[in-house]
Order: sequence, then structure tokens, then C-alpha cells
Amino acid sequence: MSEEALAGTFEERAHLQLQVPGLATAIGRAMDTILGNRALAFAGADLEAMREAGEAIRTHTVASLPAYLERFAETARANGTNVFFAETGSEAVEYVRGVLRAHEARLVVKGKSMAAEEIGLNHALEADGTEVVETDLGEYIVQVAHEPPSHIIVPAVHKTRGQIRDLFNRVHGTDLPDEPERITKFARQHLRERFLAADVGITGVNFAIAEAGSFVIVTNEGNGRMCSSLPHVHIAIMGMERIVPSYRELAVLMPLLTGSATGQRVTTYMNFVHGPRRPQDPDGPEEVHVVVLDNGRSSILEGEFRSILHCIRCGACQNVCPVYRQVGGHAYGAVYGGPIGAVLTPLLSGLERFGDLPNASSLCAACTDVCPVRIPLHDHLLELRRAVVLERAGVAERETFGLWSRAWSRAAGYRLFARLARVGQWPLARAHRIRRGPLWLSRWTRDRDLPAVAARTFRERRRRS
Amino acid sequence: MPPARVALFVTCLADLLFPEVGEATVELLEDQGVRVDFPEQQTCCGQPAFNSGFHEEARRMARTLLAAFEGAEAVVAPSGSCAAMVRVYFPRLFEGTRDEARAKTLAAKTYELSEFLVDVLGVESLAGSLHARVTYHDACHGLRELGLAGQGRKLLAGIEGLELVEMARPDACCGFGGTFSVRLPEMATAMADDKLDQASATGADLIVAGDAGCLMHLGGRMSRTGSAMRPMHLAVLLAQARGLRAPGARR
Amino acid sequence: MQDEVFLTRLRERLRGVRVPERPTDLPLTPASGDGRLFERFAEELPKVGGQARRVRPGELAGVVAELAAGAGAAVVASGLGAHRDAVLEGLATAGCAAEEPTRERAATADLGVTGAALGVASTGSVLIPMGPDAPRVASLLPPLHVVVIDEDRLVPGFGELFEQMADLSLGRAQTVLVTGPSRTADIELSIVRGVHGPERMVVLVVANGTE
Repeated sequence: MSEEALAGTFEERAHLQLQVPGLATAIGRAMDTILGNRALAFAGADLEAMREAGEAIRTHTVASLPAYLERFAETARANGTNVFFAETGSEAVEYVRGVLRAHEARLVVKGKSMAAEEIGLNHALEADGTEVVETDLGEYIVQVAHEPPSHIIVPAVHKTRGQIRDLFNRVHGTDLPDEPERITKFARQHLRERFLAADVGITGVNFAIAEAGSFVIVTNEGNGRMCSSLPHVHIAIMGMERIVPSYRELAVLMPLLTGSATGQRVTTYMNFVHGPRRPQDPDGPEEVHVVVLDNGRSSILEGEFRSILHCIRCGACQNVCPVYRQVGGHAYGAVYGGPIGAVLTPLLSGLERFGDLPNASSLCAACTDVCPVRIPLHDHLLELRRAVVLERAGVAERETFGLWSRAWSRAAGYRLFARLARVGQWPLARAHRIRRGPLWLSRWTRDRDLPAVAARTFRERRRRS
Repeated sequence: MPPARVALFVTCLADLLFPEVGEATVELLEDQGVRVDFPEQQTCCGQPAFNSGFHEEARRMARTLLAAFEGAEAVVAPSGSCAAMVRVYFPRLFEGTRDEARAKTLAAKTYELSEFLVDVLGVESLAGSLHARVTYHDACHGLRELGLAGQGRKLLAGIEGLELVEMARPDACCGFGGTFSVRLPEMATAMADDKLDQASATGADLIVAGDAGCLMHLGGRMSRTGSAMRPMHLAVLLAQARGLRAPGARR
Repeated sequence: MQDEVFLTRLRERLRGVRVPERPTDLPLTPASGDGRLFERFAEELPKVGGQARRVRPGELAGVVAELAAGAGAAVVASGLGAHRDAVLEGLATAGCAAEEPTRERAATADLGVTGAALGVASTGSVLIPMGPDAPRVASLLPPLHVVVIDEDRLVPGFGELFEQMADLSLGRAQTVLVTGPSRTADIELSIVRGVHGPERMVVLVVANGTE
């Protein structure tokens, strides 16, 4: 993400996004499409039973994470895969750079990986003079446009077909019409050349399978297969919590993932990588590396937020979030947006910088309702707000709540407050409405009227009668 | 046996800004043969402070409810949000304090109005008459924290002349969210406008909800933008439809 | 050493945390089968833009010839078992050259023909373990992918699939579950087929029994 995109507060970034014409409409359309498909994908299934099972699997797995990671390293290495445990993002980046140097790699083709974005991998490799090509069509479009993705599943949803056509024609010197078929065909052919020429393929990992030493990458486009099959070297970046004990857990977690993420029963390709090519294989990479990334996750293992590590990165919480709907991912100023971002980012990157993210929510709980593994997201947001207050509450806010709570700790104080408010509002109220509120109430009355305190409150009327 | 007598938890919003909501709630309950007490020690459930992370401050206000409703058999609130604060969060808020047991007791006997009418009193339908096109907003906390599922619409179904038309996303958050609406006013307004666009697309005259907070936020935006629609609390609509109060009876 | 430092840190953070039981009883999902095999398979695959056809062994050559009509070259994986001859015959009939599935040939071929180890009825998927008998490029580069699979290799759903996954992947570097042709919705949410993989996919399910 660009530095400008990260700067400021949520409110400032959201303000910028709210100005982007058509953004909320485009995101809303993507969300509605995915949600509609999701309902179809889960039709006839006992979704609640699936969610319960998903929660149980993830709770068990994360609680015994070191054992499963140890097992995975053992079985993967027995298959010939290199496994590297990276505590920090820079350790992970250094490892990848080292592999690329060893192979004198100039061209990398890349599948979608949130973990890779977390550690700024593209940026680091490009600084080395390596060409990094995003291969998911939506990611490729925003890469060419030098913009960050606006949605986790459909990164270029904010762009019209005309804009994409113009972009490609400008950058590639083509004369494409604004038909998705033709634009896609061009991208297919252009990216095919990159796939065939690439030295290294880098992907993410949807799940590692501890017992087998294998890992799985899911895509609809086939770029995951390309990245893990055509170049000589395949590097997979894996968040350390993205692991299942064995294949059988995937029978539940996969349908939960794909149903929630894209509204599909199954994605077109489920690509199980067991290791580098075998001696008799006609194709496949000679080296496979899995970089297992901590990058702050271990600090979350301890304590009340551990269940956020159950996340399977489906994006469903984003798809139902009414705040995300209006502003998309950019407003969150970090790799993860929406409810998952509002919880994970402060935990991974600090309350100092991201303490306002837990407030970027009306606590409507739609996220908790939809999470396929039943993470209590909105409760985590509440707990984080408390943590922020305990660590760094502003004096003004603390004073306000302090005074208010003392005044209202007795009915007499509350009734006095009502009388004072009625007097105080007298110059401001017209026909029982206040159009310009005082102090922080002006934040309300900028765009909305405020009702005046009633001439007689309910309790005053009750007393009279 | 449903309780013959309940205590009203009027909520600070209704008490101070929308007293007709409190009155209509009493009217509806009495109409069902239930006696309604109003214990005056109550001030506020403390939700704004709690949602902002100020637990001690929230407890100060919330204790007034513990005292007020000590002896009540059941407590009824015309607000899913406030009822949820008590039922879902009071046990957590008072955990480890000497009020823990009282908080749990209160939580177990607190209800939102529509769920009290339908689930506790067993009201199948309410006869009444009101000619209007109405769209219903499912307020978030009632829907997701209390698990309200259709009680409000069920009560509207018996009203003659009332045409219920659904928004595209009736359960989408309106943007009030309590303190959210002043911390992030631009976001809150964008969310309100989304909701109001959906509502006006239905051709409704009235937006109805069981929560005064949502209605204050949507209503405030409607009045600022000169919308032809009006906000109306479920309790007020039902009480009017049943002839228990005159339309516009307020200040 | 590196591993130990990493894992020790995790163990310290999890000290005292109770580990709940690993769940044994997993619920049905939309990817669970209902017992119907080919009928279900043939219902599901078209939903994602693929085609499924049931053929008797004696019809196989003819169907392949139909699919290869107008095609100049095909890459054919060796892992077709008893059906290899019929496939080659069909291609020859259509005047389509049958080539080794090298990267160069696959990149220019009009179609790729492979076998599959297993078919999943609940989703219309086929499982292809990659290797000398099934080069990756054969099912990835050409615009049309034809799969020849025996009907008795169909299983009801994901439960059965994942039960067999480890065995079927033994000795393999990669196994792919393929469900229909490659697709994207990245441009204005409109579905386009044939992004980085085949644009068309036909699965020929060969009925059991001789003929």
C-alpha cells in the first residue's frame, strides 16, 4: 500500500473514500452478488452445524498450534519441501530475497497472498530490481493502475469495463473494445507469456495439512496452478495459523471458505502441493519453499483475542459490514479491512497507530453473525475499545464520561440534567428541532437535525398523572 | 403464567426525547391487562460508556437499573438496544463485582417490547387500523443480540389498512450505533442515506422500528434533507392503530 | 535451532491453555453427496460451465472425434489406462495430431486429454494427481480440457474425496481438484471463462462394463 493510503486516521481516510464517485455502489454490488451466491451455495445444508464444526476445528488447532506446525515441518521436509519459520516480516522477506538471489531470478509471477502484502514483499523485491507480476486478473488490473485493491475478492470492482479497457490500451498500446471477454483474452495471453518466462512463482497458502506435509491453494482463474507449476521455484507464504490437522477437516472448512468468500460450493481449482517435482515428472518446480510467518501472531495466542487467529480469510465479514460497504478496504489503512482488519490490525501493528480502528464500527454484529468459524468479532471490537481506553484514553473523553456517569448515577442528577438541557437548548431549538448543536453535538448536526429535549419528559408526565 | 405486572425500563432516549414512546409502551401493556410500574431510580443502562470502553463509568449508570428493578417480576423496554445491553452485557459488565448476582438476575428478566408481547404474553395478532404504507427497519441489537425474529412484523400484520413493504436490506445497519454516530458522523450519514434510499424506493410513508436511537438518526437526516417519509416507533404506531392514543399526541 | 526458537515462543504463549478435543463427527456440507453418482455429477458440472457425458466404452472414440473436430493438435496424457487407444483413434479420425504433453506442445495444442483418479458427484469435480502419466500442462494450457474417467471412480462428495486424498497423492508432487473451466468475475462481476486455464471442459464418464 502507498504511504499516502496509510496516513491519517480512519475518519480521514474514510472521508477520502466517501468522495470517490461510484465506489460505494460498486462495492455494494459486489457484496450483494457474493451474498446472493452464498445463500445458494449453502442451500440445503445445516450451516449452523457447519459453523459449529468449523469453530471446533479451528479452536482445537490453534490451541495446539506448535505441535501441528512441528508435524507439518517434519512431513513437508520429508517430501523435499523447504520450510522456513519466520518470526518477523523482515526475516521472511530476507529469506525470499535469498532464494531469488540464489537463482538469479529476474521475473516473479505472483498469486494473491495477504501474508505477502503484510510483509511488503512486492515492494522489497521490486527494490532489488526484480519484476513482480500479479497474476490474479483483478490484482493485475490494480497493479497496472498503481492502485491498492478496493475489495479482497474482486480487487478491481471499483473500475468500469471502460476504465479497464482504457488502462490496458494506454499501458499495452492495444486497441481493445470494452468487452470483458476481449479484455480477459488479452490478459490471458499477456500473462501467459509472463508465466512461461518466470523464474519464480510466489503464492499464498489457504491451508497447510500437517499430517501430509502438503498445502492447498484455491483459485478460480488457474493462476495458482500456473505459479506453482511453470517456474523452477515455487515459494509459498503462509500465515502460521493457516493449518489443519489432516485432509478430513477440509471437508468442512473448504465449503465454509469458498461458500463465504465467493459464494461457491467449490472453486474451480483446488491445488494441493505436496513438494517439488519428482525425478520422473515432466514438469513442476525443482524447489518448493514454505515460509511460515509469525509477524505478531504469537502475541495474540496469549489472552482474550486468540480466537481472531481462527480466521480462515474468507472475507465474509467484509461482505456484510455496513461500514466497509461505504468505503471499501482503503479506509482501514492496512492490509486487512472490514471487521477482521479492525481487530487484527491493532493487534498486529499496535494500538498506538491503529487504536481508532475498533471504533470504525457501529457494532451491528453482522460480522459475528456471518463468520463461518464463529469468531465473536464485534465482542473483540468492544474488548479492544476497552484496551485502548485503559492504555491511552484522551483526557477530554475520560472527563466527559466521568462527569456524565457521576451526574447520572442518581435519578436526581439525571433529572437536573434534563432541566438544564431544556434551558440550554432554548436558543437553539426551533419547532422541537436543533439544527446546530453545541460542542461535540455539532458533529451530529452537521448533517442531521437533533430532537430537542421534550417540554415534559416521560417521567415528568408520569408524575403529573 | 405471564406476569400480571411489569416494570417499565423507559430508556433515557425515550424519556428525554421521545416520551410518547414510553407512554405508548405503557398503553399497549395496560391494554393487554398488564399493570405497569415505573421505578424512578432508573437513569440509563450505561451503553454509551460501555461501548466506548469505559466500564467503570458504565457501571455507575447501570447500577441505577439494578436498584430500580430489584423487585420487578419482569422488565420491559421499548428498545432492542437497551434491552440487549441489560440481557447480554450486564452479566459481563458486573462480573467479579459485588453486583454480579443482581446483574444476572436482572438480565434474565428483561425484555424488549415486541418480544414481550408476542413471546411472553402470547399475543398472536393485534387488531387495529392505520392507513399507511410502512417499511420496517430491523434494528441491529434487537435482531442480532436478542435474536428478535419477526415479532414486530407479526404485530403489524393485524393492523387493517397497513401495507408493509420491505426494503432491499431491512437488516442493514442504519448508522446510528450510539457513539458511532458522533465519532464518525460522515460514515453514519452515508449509512443513513443508504437506508433512506432503500426506504424511499419502497414508496413507504413511514419507516418503523423498535428503537428510538435508529429513528432519531434516520429521522434527523430525513428532516434535514426534507424527505417526505416519517419515522415512527413501533409502540407509537401500534398504540395509535388501536385507538389508545391520538395521532400526533405529543408535546 | 531456528524452528525450536519459533516453536518455543508459541508454546510459552499457549502455556496453560486447555486444548479442546479434535472434533471427530463432522457434519454434512453442500459438498457432501447424496449417493447419486453420475446423475448428480452431470447436474453439477454444467452449473459451472463444464460438460459431462456418459459414454459406453465402444462410443468413446466417436465422442473424442466429435470433440476434436476442427482441431489441429492435441496433447494426450499417458494416464488413460484402457481408454488410451480409443482416444488416439478418435483423434486420428478427426485428423487431429496426438502429441506428447510437453510444455511447448501444450502451449499450442487445441485440446488436452487426461485421465482422472476420482470424480466428485456433489460438485462435478475431478481429481487429477500430477505426474508422468498426467503432466500439469496438459490440463492447464490448452483451451479445451477433455477428461476420461471410469464411472466407478465417482464418489458422492468431499467426505469420500478427502478420505482418499492421501492415498491418491502418494508419490505425487501435486494433485489438483478441477471443477469446470477457468473463470473470473473481476471485470464488473461478469463471468468470463478461460482466464489462466482452459476455457472449456468436458468430462467423459465411461460406463462400467464391456463393449
